[in-house]
Amino acid sequence: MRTPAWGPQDIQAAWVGTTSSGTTGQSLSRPLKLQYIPITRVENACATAQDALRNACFAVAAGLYDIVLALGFEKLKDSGLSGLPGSQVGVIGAGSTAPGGFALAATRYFHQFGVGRETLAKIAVKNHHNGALNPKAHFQTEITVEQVLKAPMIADPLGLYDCCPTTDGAAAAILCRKEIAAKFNPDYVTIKGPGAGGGPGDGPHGPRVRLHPLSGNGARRAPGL
Amino acid sequence: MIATALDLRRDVYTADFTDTLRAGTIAMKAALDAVRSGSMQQALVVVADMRTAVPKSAEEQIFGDGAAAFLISASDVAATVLHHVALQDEITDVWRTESDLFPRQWETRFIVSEGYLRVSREAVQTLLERSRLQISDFSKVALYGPDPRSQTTLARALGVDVKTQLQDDLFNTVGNTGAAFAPMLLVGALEAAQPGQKLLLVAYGNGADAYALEVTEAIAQAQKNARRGLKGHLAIKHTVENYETYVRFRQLMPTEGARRPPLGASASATWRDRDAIFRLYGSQCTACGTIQYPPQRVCLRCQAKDRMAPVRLSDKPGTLFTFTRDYLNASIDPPSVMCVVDFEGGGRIYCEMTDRVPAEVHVNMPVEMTFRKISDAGGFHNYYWKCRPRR
Repeated sequence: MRTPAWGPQDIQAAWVGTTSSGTTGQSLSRPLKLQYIPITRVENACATAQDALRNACFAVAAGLYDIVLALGFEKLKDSGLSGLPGSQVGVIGAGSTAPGGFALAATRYFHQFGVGRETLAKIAVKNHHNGALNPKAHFQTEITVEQVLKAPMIADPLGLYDCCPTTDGAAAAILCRKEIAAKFNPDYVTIKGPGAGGGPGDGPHGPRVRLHPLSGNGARRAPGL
Repeated sequence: MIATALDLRRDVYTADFTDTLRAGTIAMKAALDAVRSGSMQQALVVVADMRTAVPKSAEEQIFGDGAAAFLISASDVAATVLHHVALQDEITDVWRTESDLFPRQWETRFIVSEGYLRVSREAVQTLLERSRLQISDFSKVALYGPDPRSQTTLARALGVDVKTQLQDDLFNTVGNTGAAFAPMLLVGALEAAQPGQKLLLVAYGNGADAYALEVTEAIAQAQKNARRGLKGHLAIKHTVENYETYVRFRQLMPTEGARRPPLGASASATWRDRDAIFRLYGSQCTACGTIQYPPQRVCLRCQAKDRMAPVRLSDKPGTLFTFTRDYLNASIDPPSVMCVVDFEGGGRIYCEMTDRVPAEVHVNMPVEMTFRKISDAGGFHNYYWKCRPRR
């Protein structure tokens, strides 16, 4: 019952997200041999695959397709670089890295709210705890606050455990109309509303320096919620 | 580039004087002549030199990098040039070919006795003869010298009292800064000068320049207005921790590259953004007054479109809003101290901090902007502004 007789030929459209490991929809159609279906390649930094999923939702919700595929993939380790790749052209804004950008917010947050690295360390400890419960997690071992504080500094005040590990990976979801979902999997999951929010559009030169509640804005703007 | 970074008008005449140790004093003569002839009211002379020596050579102990600047004006001057003599002299004593990384020089005794001593002495003697001045008329002598010993030898030969008349040679603090050396010595002399005193400036390099100057009453005001001068800069110096750091900064030794994407550069994008990059122009919204950098078309506060007026931020003092010491970013001097700076009067910039001790950087630190070479990405020099601890 859980694997009905259906396959790639039933997928009517796809959204594929990758920041630096492929371009165009062909990065998906070639390995899967998807035949002539429309595939949209999405790039939106760390929200890339989530945004692929979001746009796939819209297509199904709009009634344009019955079955679509949303997929995100990245092969970061092919770059041979430390941290996230990404080219930087010009002198304005030069010298920024992903951890460095978030560290600016952490420094100011610490200053403004009187907390320190110990508080931040609890997030990494909690994340690793959750990872230890998940057999598919990137890291599945518990860590202590002391380990977090003693780890090498990446972009002060963010140490190794405060930053995302970089690796290769992929995730996929098949989306269909709710009415036919049970046909493929009786234990299906529904998406109530996909949320996304952009920044205030002013960048690091602007007055807000990523202290704005990005995720909160996104959830509030989710259609259907 | 200097004129642009200073945000001078585009019709300000600029000229480059280069390829000689006398480039600075030759430029001063050109500026003096231009102002005297009435062709211009004021001229700014900037002289700078980097004297990178072969690692572990004797010259490395003596050479230094430095700069000096003078405003040559038709009136209200702190010092008047009474006389000038320039001698040209063809000799291969100290030189650098197009492909040389370091200055070269011939055997010491030859370059000192047949070059420096002979020609400098002749220039000064000619000046004294023509001006009917005595060497004892000068309160201070800003005397170029390839090394301390040769400088003292020349001073004695000229009858200069080494103890009282010779301007501090800077060999123990800055070193021989080439084209900028004698001009920097003159700045040192002017810092302590009294009205009515006479100063002698002597520069050497394939010939010699000798200037006789007289200090005016306006010197007191100039000394008061001086932002930092020689003394001020020496007082805020930061000592490089060790020789390895110096060699790394000067890129005289291959070092392991960071595993980071290389910096890119675009000549056309740099040209398009030249006012933002070189003049450090932001824009001020004429609808709501918000100052923003880089210059925007749409206001980040009120979203008004195309209602911006340019505003210069390079000379505005700033305060550190936040920062990070980034060990991941590729840098010749890790960690990169990346900053968000709030300008006095409004405006915010994201930039790197230089001339800093990373451990001493803190939120709300007072900073100022400074113009620097950023990289050689794209095969050309990329210049931009950095912040630094306020002086």
